[in-house]
Amino acid sequence: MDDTSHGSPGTDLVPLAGARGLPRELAVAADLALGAGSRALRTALGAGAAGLAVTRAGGRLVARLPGAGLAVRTATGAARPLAAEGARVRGDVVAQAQRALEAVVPAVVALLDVDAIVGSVDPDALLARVDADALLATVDVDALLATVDVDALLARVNVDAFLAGVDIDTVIARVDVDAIAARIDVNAIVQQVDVDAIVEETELGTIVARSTSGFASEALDAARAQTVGVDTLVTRLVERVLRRRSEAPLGPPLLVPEEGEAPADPPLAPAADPPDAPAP
Amino acid sequence: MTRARDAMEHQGHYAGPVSRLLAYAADTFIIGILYTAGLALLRFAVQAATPWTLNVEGAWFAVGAVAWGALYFGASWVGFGRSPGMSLLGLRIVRGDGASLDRRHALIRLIAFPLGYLTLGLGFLGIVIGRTRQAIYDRIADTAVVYDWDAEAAKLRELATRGGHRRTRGAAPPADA
Repeated sequence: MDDTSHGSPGTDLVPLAGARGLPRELAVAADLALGAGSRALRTALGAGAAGLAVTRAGGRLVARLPGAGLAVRTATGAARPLAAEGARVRGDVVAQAQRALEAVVPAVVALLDVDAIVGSVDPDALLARVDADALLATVDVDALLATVDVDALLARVNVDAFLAGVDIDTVIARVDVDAIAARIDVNAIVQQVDVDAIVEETELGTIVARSTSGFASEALDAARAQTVGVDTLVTRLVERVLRRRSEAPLGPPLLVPEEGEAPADPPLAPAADPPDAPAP
Repeated sequence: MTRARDAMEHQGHYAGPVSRLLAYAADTFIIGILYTAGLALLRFAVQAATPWTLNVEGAWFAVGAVAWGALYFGASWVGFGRSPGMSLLGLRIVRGDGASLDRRHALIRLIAFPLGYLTLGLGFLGIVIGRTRQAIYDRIADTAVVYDWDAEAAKLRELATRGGHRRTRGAAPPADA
């Protein structure tokens, strides 16, 4: 890759358009000047640091001599104007440095190719370094949701437009009706149907009545039902006369199982209605 | 008043004495009608087709009636597990445990049936006071008589008829309005 030979990506200074034709000699001279200045500044700073150390050591030595306090106070009084002068000069220098930076920084920024910098960033590598779990662990989701006004959010949803964009046929075509039907407990549903009410309250009952009942059938039903009632009365009377305490079995065990027993299989099949005029 | 829907729960129970008496009365009536009519028809046929006259009276008439009754009950019990009179009252003969009546037990019941009369009616007492409503011939043949009519259909008929009447009254204005 060519970019790697120029240092780290995005840090190359790109010469201004006007600086492209800078003569090599002038550049060398500028480098020499900058190098000499830098070396001199470094030397001066080293000398200043050494002087400061010597001064501190001398100060500590002098402070231990008799009358040192008076000397210190005298020296402090004499040095105060100097310190004030120094503070003023420092302020001027800082102000000048700020002005210089304000002039230089835009030029430096103009020299930077921001697009190249941004283009050199690998988002995947950047994101790979992000610990999403740790980041999310710091998020208080409840507090976040508490700030959400769901009603307002829903009020902004255009349901009609949303539904208009839904292809119902496609949705229905993807529904497995057989699977849904297989999960429906039809027997449980039928158990809840009140057939008696349907027959009694609807026209279905009329159809049943017309198709099955006649005068003979209704009379026979009534006669049988009444006879059962009379039988029950007679049975109770006999039980009372005979003073029977235990209950008699209601029917044969296969037809009327005792309490707790399952009904026998098969129960007696309902007999067909007898003919109105019985055959011999 | 017992309604069809209330009588439904009695299906499979031992039939009471009134039902059985009415069924027997119906059977006796049918036997009598058919025997008399059949005998008259036979007498007319003999008189028309032959020079003789058929005169069945006294003991022969009784023997004929008993034979006809035996044929009537035997055929209906063996064939259908119930006599026509029982069908009319919605009764059915079953085995003592509730199983369907088979031919063997039907014939035993038929043979033992006269014992009800031969004991001067005491054989029938079990129907009234017995816990399983069994007459003497029922005990011998190990049979029982139970309610077994299509009460479900009867209940639907009753409901449909009542609902139809109510709708009719609701649709039509009262006559005196």
